[in-house]
Amino acid sequence: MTLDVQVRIDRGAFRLDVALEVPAGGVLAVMGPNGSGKSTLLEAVAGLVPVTDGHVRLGDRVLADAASGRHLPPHERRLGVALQDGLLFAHLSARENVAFGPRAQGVRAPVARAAADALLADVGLTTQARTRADRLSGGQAQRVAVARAIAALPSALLLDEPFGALDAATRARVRDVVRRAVATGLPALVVTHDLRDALELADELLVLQDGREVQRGAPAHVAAAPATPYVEQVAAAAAWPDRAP
Amino acid sequence: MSAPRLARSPGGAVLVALAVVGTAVLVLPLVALLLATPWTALPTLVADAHVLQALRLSLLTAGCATLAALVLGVPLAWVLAHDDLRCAWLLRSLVTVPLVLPPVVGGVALLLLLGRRGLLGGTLDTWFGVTVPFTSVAVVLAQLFVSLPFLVLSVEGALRGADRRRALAAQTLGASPAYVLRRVTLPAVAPGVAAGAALCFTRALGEFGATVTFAGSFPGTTRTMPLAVYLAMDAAPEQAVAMSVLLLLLSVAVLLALRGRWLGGLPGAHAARSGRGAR
Repeated sequence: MTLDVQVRIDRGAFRLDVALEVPAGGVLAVMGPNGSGKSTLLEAVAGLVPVTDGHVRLGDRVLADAASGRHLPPHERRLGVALQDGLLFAHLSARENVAFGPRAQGVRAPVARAAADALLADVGLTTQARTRADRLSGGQAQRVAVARAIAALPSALLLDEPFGALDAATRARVRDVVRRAVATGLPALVVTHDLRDALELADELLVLQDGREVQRGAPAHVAAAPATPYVEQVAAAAAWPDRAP
Repeated sequence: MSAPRLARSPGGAVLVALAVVGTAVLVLPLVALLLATPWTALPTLVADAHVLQALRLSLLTAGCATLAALVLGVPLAWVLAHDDLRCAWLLRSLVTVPLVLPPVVGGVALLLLLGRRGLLGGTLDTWFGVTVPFTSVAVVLAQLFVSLPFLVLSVEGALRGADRRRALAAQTLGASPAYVLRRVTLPAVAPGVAAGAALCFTRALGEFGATVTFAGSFPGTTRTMPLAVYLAMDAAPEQAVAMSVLLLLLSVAVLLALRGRWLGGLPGAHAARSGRGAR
């Protein structure tokens, strides 16, 4: 199932104009300075932002199409989304947060909870399964958010800064969990500020600036030949050897 | 508590001293009340028919006022919590007025609206034969007038806390809007609604000025506990003290329930304490 996005989005003075394609089992990393349109792109695919022009397709399903005025509501798009800041449901436990997607789609509670526990184990949060979401640390909450997105029976994964609050070792572990989910045949869009995430996880890297593509290619190629000062900067930051042993 | 360290500088000592006086202003009257309470005679004093009558009326009217406040106040709070509302500031000011208004003035205003010669009262009387003032309904209206703002502002705060982005996040996980309302929005707001209802109830329970002006003081129909306490101060001071203690205990019980059950469960309450939030 391929994710095919070709959109123009006008939001006040800001315009995002971007085209991309992510094949089944492929990961596209999206990077760019603040305000470059990364999150807007992800929200448009998720259905939270209307598309001014163009289309969003997932396999043979049309999620949004400006020409025909089609706009599938977010809950009918069958996506697994982790928005920026995680946005966990504070009154629910970590387990119920992860089980939320499948339960909302009619999976029986015990089945959804078992799946949630398995995913929480994968991201290293078995002991926090019963902890209320508002009592988790920033890093723990972020891992729950990623697990929750993967658990939601998605046809595509959209992750906005899913690793930002994690230390190097945990980061590698959660990246692994994402990699395994993608390997089941999902296209994934991952917004990140850290080039190492792109290098480790993505097949392709798209760099945005002011709502436009400024560079695209295999992450290693982009890192080796930065086209803008921004890319140069993130490449330099990624070169620091603070990765876990 | 690090009051000694605070008090080390001269300026700090003055502030701490004033804080102590401030606390005394709030606590000493209650200490005097508790010391004057005839604890052994309390059960018989409270079991008096007049006291029970006033207590029953108070609980009933305050309960009705709280229910009415929930029915009317939650939608009002919902409207206020929407940022796209242009005249929200005006509406919020109007809702806040009864908070700062002397309750007696509220009672006068209610009379001018619903009294026999009032703006609506005349019509109600001639067309439907309904007279509101000096009935139990008037008690409920007076209590509603002064207590509704507490509920509205509390619920509005809760609705704003349960931000829209969480509801959107729920939708992106495949949850229909109805499912989101049931499992995300309402549970997030419930503690705020409960806290607002409790505040509203205690405020209604203590209402005096608007009630005595608009509803009078008729035993059994409009003489609520605060009115009964005031009247008993002359005739039977011991009974007044007993009723006061009863009201104090009721209020403290509500406060304790609030702290333990509801405030602890408010979204962000724990996060604020431990210095981190749900991300």
